[in-house]
Amino acid sequence: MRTLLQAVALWGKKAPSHSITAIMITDDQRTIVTGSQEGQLCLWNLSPELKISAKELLFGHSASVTCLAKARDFSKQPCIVSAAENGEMCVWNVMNGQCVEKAILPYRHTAICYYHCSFRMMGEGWLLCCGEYQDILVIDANTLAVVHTFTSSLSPDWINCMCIVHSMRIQEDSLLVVSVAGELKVWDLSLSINSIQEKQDVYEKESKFLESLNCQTIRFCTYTERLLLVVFSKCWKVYDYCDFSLLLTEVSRNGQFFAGGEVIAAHRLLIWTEDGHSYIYQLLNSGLSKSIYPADGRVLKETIYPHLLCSTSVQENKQSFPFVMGYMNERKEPFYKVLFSGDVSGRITLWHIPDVPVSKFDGSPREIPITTTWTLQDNFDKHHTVSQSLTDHFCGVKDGTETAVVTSSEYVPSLDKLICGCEDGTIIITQALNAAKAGLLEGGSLLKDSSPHKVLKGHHQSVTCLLYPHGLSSKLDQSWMVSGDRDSCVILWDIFTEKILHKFFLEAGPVTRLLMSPEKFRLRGDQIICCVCSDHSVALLHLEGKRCLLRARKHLFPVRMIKWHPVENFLIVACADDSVYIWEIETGTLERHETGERARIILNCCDDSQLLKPESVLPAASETHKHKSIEQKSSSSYQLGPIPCPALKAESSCK
Amino acid sequence: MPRNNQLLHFAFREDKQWKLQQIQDARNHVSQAIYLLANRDESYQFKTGAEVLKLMDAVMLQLTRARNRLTTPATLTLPEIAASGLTRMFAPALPSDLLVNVYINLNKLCLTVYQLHALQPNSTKNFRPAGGAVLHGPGAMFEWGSQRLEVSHVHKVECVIPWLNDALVYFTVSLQLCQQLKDKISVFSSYWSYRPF
Repeated sequence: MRTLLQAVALWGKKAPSHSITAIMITDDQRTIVTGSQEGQLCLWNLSPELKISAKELLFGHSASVTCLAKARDFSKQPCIVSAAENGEMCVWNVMNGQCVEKAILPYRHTAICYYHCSFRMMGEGWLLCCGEYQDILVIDANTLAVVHTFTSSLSPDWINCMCIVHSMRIQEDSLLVVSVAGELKVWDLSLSINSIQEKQDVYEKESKFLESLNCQTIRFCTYTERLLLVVFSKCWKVYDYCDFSLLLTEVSRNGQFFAGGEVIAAHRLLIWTEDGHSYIYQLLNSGLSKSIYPADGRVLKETIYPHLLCSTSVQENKQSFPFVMGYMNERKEPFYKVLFSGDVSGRITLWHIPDVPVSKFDGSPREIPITTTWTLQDNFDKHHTVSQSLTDHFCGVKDGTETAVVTSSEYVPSLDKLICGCEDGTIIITQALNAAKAGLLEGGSLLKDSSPHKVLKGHHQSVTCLLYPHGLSSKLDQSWMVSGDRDSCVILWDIFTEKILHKFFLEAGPVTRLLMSPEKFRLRGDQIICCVCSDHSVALLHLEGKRCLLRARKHLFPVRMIKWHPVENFLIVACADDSVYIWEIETGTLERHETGERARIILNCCDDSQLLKPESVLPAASETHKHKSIEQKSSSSYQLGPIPCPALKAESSCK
Repeated sequence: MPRNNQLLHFAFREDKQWKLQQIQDARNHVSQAIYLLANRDESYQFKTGAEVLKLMDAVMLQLTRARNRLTTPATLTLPEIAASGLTRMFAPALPSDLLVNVYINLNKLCLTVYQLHALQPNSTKNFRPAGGAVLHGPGAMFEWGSQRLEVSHVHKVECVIPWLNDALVYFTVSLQLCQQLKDKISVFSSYWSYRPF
């Protein structure tokens, strides 16, 4: 029987960072789903009064989320699909937060459209996907297996965006896409269902060059069934759907970049920009007909022109990262038209768009105010009593000043100790179970009274990493603990006597990682400590001898992986540019530097790698109560599912 | 193409386009990197170091992917090669006992031609389908439709393309430049407060 491991994470006062890269609202308008650069998805409750509250964080992706989409007929099954940079795809039930299906495909998707045609198709339907590969992939929405592809006979290329056109008039569905080269292509969806089931090639029905690059969105006007809105980064255009003739081009002003748009009513468009602004236009007829030929013989295409009715804006964006925005028009109660946006700081903003947007009396555009705005941090602040910081009780609060921020932590199960390194350079050692209990339950007093703790003072800068050598090899002294700081100082402690045994000054950048050589790698019988610094240098320390063995400083790129070669006594350093440096440990000299295929072969020949995962999932300031070895083991048998934050959990129990 | 000591001639057909995927992908990654760098106003002033670091990360990701597309050809299984669009790109059509693959490996354009023969259903040979590889050797087996096939001969031609070499050097240099910019900004990060900036 496999034992079940329960991971507990206490977030402290600061919400985990959630840089939004994708956002959607479910069809029932009850849930907002956001995907983040950190890889997590967040489910947010959306109340009928358009109030937002974070509900659950979903852990499933190990890379940045690229897109989100509906994955079922939502009224039957409340499922969405998410895709990540590394090819992971997950289908989630947004009601209970469970991962229903997952797959890793060698494709990086940037957009997904759900398509289902009940009377022609079996199964749950298709996910039509585009991204960093040629043309369109058809993926089974249920199994996430690739069913087929839509291929281009002319200029096949990556596809930037797509939309499904369902014509009420002829009851046929088409797929409209725009490639990175600016080519508009049309595939016949309804007719292709049979061909796909028979595995025949499906080529495009039509294609046309749109003469602009960086297409962001393509949308069909379902109200008129006539107009096609195409938004590029520097302009947006309106085409006649019947013959794809250009009706209107509007070029961006004031250096703004368009990011998307939607047709919100007949002849009414909503266009948004990368910096989070949006504009509602009414398309007016200029009175010129398409058939009029001007004197110079050029076809006069522009028969309509835009009139700006309303606009929305956000506060000055501090960072130049694009907002991700969307628009949703709910056809059922409560009939809200909602424009929504998410940004790199994790903030969600909603605007309730009036049914009939009008300009001011003098004809100037009206500003639509923000209806709601919310962040994860707001949830944490609302329930601050539960999410107290561990260190609050020992070092902070005295003068009402900010408490020390924990910048690194290490759990020692054999001693039931939790070691926390702080921003001010102190190291606090406390009883782990007690601290976890106090953090989970209502317990400031619990900690203050009963938990004995030690404070180690030796670092002058914030403590960036900790290592308990005995936890990795029982042969090492139980009292030893190693800590590294921002000033590239590494200290060997005796945690029982609280004394400094030795200070190593590496004269390098902040120490980002402390590793220990594997059991089988020994230098004169002793295992050695490897310090990785943020200036890409690596130092080897011999604890018994209290001396620094090697300072490897030649690396041009950040260190990605450390490997040990026991026979030859080599330290193998793999860098982020896929090159490999081989250092001779005894002499401290650089043996070889290899790139490309040779570097790959060298890395593959020694198996005991020590991967340096950037701990992006958890911000440096959060307190994690996870044993390192558990964390590593669990990655192979990774369970997907919701991990409610304590603060968020409390939210639901308050009701 | 040599076959049973006779020369066969094929040309790319003109009614359909086929693009060497590696080159197209590399180009698209580069244009994404350029887009990332160019999509702000000329007068735009960066306000934080973190902002520049994040931008450099995004640019370097695209440049790395572009370079990797040229340095690592796809490992394909024989059915994948048989199903690829390239197989149907020739006039006259390729005979059913030939498979062709074209790819880039660093600065070389490589053409491989696999000559196949059908395995008899009652063959005593142990049928083991070959996995994915850049180059399959004689004896590699696979199933295509209802048939079991084996590679009998492999012909490979390589041709060094000088501008690919240049492109690879430029990728390396540009990645180093980006990293140097990042390193310089990171030096100042100790003067900022430690909190995630």
